[in-house]
Amino acid sequence: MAERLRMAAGRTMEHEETGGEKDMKTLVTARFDKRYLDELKTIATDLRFDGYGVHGVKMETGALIRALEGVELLITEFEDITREVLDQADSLKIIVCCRNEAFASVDIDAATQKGIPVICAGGRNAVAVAEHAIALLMCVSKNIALTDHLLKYTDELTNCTYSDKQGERRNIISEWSLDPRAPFALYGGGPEMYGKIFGQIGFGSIGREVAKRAYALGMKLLIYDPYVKQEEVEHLEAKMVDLETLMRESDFISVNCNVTPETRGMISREMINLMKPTAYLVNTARAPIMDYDALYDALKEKRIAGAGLDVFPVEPIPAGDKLLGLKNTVLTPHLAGSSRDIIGHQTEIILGQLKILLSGGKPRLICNPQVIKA
Amino acid sequence: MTKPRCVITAEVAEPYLSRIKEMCDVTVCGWATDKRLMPEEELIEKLQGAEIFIVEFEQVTERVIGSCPDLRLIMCVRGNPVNVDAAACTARGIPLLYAPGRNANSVAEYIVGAMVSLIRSIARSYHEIKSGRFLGSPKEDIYDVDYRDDTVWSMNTPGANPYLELKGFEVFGKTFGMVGYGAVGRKLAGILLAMGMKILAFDPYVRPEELLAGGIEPASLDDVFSRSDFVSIQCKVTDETKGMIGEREFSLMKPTAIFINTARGIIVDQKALVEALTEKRIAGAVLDVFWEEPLPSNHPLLGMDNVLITPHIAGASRDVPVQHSLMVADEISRYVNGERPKRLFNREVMKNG
Repeated sequence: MAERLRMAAGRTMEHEETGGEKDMKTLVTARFDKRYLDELKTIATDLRFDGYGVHGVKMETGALIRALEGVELLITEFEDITREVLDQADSLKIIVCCRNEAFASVDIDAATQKGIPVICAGGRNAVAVAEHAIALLMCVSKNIALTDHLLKYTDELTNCTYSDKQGERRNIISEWSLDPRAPFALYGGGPEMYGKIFGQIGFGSIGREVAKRAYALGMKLLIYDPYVKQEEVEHLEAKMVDLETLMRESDFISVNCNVTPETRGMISREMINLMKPTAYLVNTARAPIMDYDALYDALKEKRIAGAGLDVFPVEPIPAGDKLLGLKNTVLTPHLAGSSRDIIGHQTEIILGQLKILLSGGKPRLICNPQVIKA
Repeated sequence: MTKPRCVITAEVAEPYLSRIKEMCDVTVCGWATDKRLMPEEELIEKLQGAEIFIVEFEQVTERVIGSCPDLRLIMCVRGNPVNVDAAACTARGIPLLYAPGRNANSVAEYIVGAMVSLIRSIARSYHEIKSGRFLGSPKEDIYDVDYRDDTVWSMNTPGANPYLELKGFEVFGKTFGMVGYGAVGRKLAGILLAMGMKILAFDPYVRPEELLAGGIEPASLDDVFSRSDFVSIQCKVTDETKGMIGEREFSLMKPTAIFINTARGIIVDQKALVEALTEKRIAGAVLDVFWEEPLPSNHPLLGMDNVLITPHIAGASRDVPVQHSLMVADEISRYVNGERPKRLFNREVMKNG
């Protein structure tokens, strides 16, 4: 198989150099970012767009089987690529599923039995989540969300007079006020990220993006991920540590791992109690990773400085939930991955993975690596 | 040799305060001790016999300067020493020092956080949740849950789907336009580049080569406004920049673009901004500074969902005093050793003396 793919890749490159005709007959039913069309054309010939990506409706099995006749490369997203479909797709060589979890749409076992590699678009929302996580930390540590709320929906910061606002202190000077009851004193004074210690829990596709941004913000990184080696984080001048060390030493902590039997309840009461009183935590992963009861206690008793939470034990949060009453916590309704730019990311990711596969390599996002070991 | 007398009303952090105490005979008072601005009379009294004055917020008027004959050096620890009468200092031959860029980190980080907060509805959804929107029915014990690996907020709650309703976009791959490339711009650029943004900057006082070396495209003011997805004001208030941004500039912006001001209100024409937002000619704004502060409680900006508003706190981090303290200690050490100052505001004073 690998040999076959290498040959295909070789031919593709040859054609690229001579500008001649391209290689694989391709069906695209995924949402595809057209900015990458030329790049796709270096791999695909007889390119056809159909299905969900064009009509917003999944193709039916029958139509899919007919459309796959002679097709070697399938780039799909939501269509159900069942055993029945695969049994009749005789020419099919590669399946690309533009989702984080390809198994939700593709029968991976059936593909494996036919020796067809399946590539997914793992991390397509990594940038969206990373940006949200960093901003959520800033919103809580700099009181951005709180003061926006107070300004717009209360009179607390506007309909008031301050001791130092008489006379000609207008225009250029224009501080809000230096009165001890004014926002500068009450809501300023949060920490900068620059120079602080950032604890990254989980170093997968999302954790990497978060860590990259923390590094650019001038933070020193501690990373906990038992599946990552020290040499993989050297470019961020980061240090791999155990979870206890990370919880104890970090000023800002971001949780970005999957829920597995290992991670369920991993950030326990004991772990939360190790945190510095000045530390902030953001969870954009999943609630079962943390003990929310213990987190609530730490926030309520101000044993930690604050938290940004996008995920909860029960969603939607039940009305009256005690988390809603915390002043030092910014809550968002599971929005971290909700970005319109995902189509661009999935397109870029799958093309990169596809090129690695075609040049005989083992793509990181292959769902059935056993098919290319031979 | 006797140490020079030094009065400090600015917040000076350790170990820098101790270092200054080694070099000077120090009195700490005013804002530094009471978080209250010292009135003119009291200030004049405290400054009698003082050679050095380190100030942050107190008004240092011509009268104060004229009434304290022993003053030889004034350092205002702010990025712009607006509370000190610079002309009066120059007339008396007193060098006025300042602390440029002391809050650059703080402001740069605020811009990143606030910009993403706006486009991803962080502050907005926080408010909605706090007000009871998007919530489920009350539950006796919220920790009594059949935990699933995947939990999603909305799918079973018709009419309350924040994931779709508040779907935002990313800053990755977008263009950020800077009006002014000073201390804040320099700090911010590295962060934005790491976040995958393209940067344009307009600053007539910075050489294009310097911008290019920082990975930034030099641009005209019009280019910054017409090509950027985010336009951020990062310049000082000068005669040149007062009212620099008006109707014409807003009319150049993309309808999808966001306007950011963390500098000063007076740089921007208030009416032009309010109208551009009201008429949806621009997509939104992040505003930390205003034309009058506190902002009047009936200001139309306070009613806009597409505007993120904070009360002039972008530069208010607790790490700012550390930055300016380092600069103060450095300047005091230069002064007592007879070296030229590095952070001189009234440059003309040196020519005279």
